[in-house]
Amino acid sequence: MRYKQFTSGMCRVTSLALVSLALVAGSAIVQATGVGDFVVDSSKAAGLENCVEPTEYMRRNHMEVIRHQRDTTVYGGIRSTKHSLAGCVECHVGYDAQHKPVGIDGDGQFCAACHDYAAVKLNCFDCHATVPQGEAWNQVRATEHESLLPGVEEQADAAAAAAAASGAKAAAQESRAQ
Amino acid sequence: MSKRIVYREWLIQPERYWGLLAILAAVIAIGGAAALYMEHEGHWVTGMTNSVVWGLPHVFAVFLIVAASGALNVASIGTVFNKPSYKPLGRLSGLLAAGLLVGGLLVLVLDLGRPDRLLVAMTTYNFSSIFAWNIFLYTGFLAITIGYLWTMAERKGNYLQRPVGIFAFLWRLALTTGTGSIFGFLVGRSAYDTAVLAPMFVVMSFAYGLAIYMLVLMTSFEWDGRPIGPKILKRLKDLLGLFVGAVLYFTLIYHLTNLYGAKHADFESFLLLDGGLYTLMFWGGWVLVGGLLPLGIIYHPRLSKDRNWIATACALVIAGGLAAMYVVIIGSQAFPLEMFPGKTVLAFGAPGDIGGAVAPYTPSLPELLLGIGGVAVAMLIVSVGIRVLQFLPESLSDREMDGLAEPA
Amino acid sequence: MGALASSAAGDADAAARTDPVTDRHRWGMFVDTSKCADGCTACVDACDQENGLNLQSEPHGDDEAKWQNQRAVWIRKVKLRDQATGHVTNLPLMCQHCEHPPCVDVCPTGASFKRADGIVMVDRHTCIGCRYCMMACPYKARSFIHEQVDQKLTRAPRGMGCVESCNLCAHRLDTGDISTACADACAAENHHAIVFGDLKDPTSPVRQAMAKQTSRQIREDLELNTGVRYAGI
Repeated sequence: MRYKQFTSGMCRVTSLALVSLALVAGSAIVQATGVGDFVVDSSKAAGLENCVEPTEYMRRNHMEVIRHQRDTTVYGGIRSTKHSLAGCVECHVGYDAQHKPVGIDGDGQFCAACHDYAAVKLNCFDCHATVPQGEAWNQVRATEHESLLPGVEEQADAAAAAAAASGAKAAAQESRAQ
Repeated sequence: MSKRIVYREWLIQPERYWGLLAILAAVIAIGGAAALYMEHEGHWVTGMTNSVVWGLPHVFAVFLIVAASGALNVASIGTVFNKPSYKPLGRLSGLLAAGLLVGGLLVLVLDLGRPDRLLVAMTTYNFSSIFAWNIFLYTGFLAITIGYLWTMAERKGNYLQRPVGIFAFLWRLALTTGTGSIFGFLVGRSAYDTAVLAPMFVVMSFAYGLAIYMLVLMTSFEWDGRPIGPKILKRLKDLLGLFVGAVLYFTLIYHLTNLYGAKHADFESFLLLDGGLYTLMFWGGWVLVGGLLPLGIIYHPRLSKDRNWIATACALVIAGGLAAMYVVIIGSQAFPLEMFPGKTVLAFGAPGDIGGAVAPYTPSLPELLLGIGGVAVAMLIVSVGIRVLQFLPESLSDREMDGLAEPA
Repeated sequence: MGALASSAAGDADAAARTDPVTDRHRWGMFVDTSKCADGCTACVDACDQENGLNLQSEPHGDDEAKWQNQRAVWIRKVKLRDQATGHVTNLPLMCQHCEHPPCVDVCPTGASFKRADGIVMVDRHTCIGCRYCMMACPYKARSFIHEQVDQKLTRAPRGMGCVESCNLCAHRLDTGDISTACADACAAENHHAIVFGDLKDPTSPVRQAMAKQTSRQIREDLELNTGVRYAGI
């Protein structure tokens, strides 16, 4: 009985020592890296005060924010850029000396650096682009085809006339407007 | 007074046992490595394409799953249909069923495009999908089989044996019907667009499951020097003959149904006459090797009494079963989708893209290794099970069996 | 062009969607096969560009012929000859966006789904790559991504191990751009074989085109009520 108590006491002491060791080691790493250093200097984000939400909130909840946006985008078709992953990439992607974007999941880049540090597997970029590429799909075309939105048919002629100036696409426009 | 059946652990020499385990473990490791390779590289390393989307792993997986439900039949005959001479065979039947199912499911899961998302499959369901229902059918089958084994092995649970047995029997019918229905309700494909597939799968499961069961039983008894009397062997092989005959009968019905529906006549002529490998697999594998040859052995006056020939018949049924699965799963994908009746497809997409023509498929080595790995998993589960627990009866000699046949 | 661009900047935000899609619209297409030119692949090329399919490359060591069956194709040109008359027809074939899609019925996780506005697509976040939808599709519309994807576009995420198919350029629709890459390209070639629009709006171009000509569904016998209709087949 006494022996048992003794060993369990020993265990407690050892585990305490181990925990404190781990704590010391952990704080050393934290001090060395410093939380918040993951924003890449060459990225657009480096020049901004805040992320789309307060920084502290984003640190803890970015995955929830992204996941929520993911479902509203896939099922609801809402691609508002405030919480979109495309927005994250655009703002946080770093650039090399030639001003070329560097993949955000690359070594030391914004997403990878922190996820490596936290040892959390990141698989957004199995499918998603790691640099802003082929994203300028909404701005210009949206208004080019404005006339075809249901309910704005009356403007079709005017829009078609405007589009006639824009070359190849105009043909499609006109035929639909007629 | 009926005799008590004595069950004993598998008592083969340790060297032999561990040797077997080592071989099985090696085969499993190779299969696992093949799966990792396919997952890492992507499915381009397999023979699968956008035309033949399910390849050799599905052949093995579906065969194992179908055979699993069939293997449980032996136990059902004992408890549900109250045949005393089948009672001592029940425990092994349950274990084999569980093993085959685990092996088949592993192959199925490891062939997914994203096996890492298995959790998604377990948590998100679309209840209009037969696949989703099958996930429940499979896991339920495993749970019920384990419960069934408990009622057979634990005296306190003996009184539950019959109700649980009946439940297990109904569940296994649902399971095979479900597996058959995976294919049976694919309206777009000529080969599958028939409800006969589901009952055909049930009958196939009877045959393949029993064939595997008999091979495992005979091998494990042989290695351990336990006697199997000619009487029980005759019963089993007669039953196998019946099931194999039924498979042939349903095969006939399946093709007659397809031929009767005029729109499927092209597919039938592909399968039966000019489908090359698939025609060969059908006639040579499914019908001859898996049907006529074993029937010939089973009903041969002299060969049918020879154990080695009976074992050969079982092996032939298994080989024929794999061929049948190959034809059902791959042959019907290779056959072109008929989208434009009365029209010849001159071009379908870029050159090399397949449409309106038979799609090529050559199984790759990793696919084969994964499939064999699944078989090895099933065998490993059975080997360890019979070694550490009392699954095998000590004797199935005629004297022992006669004792059982007396009314209690 | 300058005037257009400036007005675009002004209206774009207004056009981008802020409410979830509803069943007030059902997007679909009308294809006049008589206008679909032999040998023209403008729609296919445009689709490849739009959705980053042109960025696919054959994995090192794959068999060339096999790769042609493994690479993703969302739209393909099909050329048919009538067995009785010898008449040759060309048509673009893509996901038919069925009202009752077999791929959605069979998907075990519900990753294959029909959006409220009738677009049938894959939620790549829940797709486990079982390929059952490909077995079920009567049109061979779906592709499995067989290889690792190195290059992808922001507007069209895609990665190994999932199934994908035509989504009627949903990313365009969601930002108020009522068009698809294939229809635009066809019009740019002056063929006008593909007309895209809202099947529920009687005044939409697609409905007006359908009012003028009889059209059929491919595999009409399956009663899937496809969202893509063809004249002249």
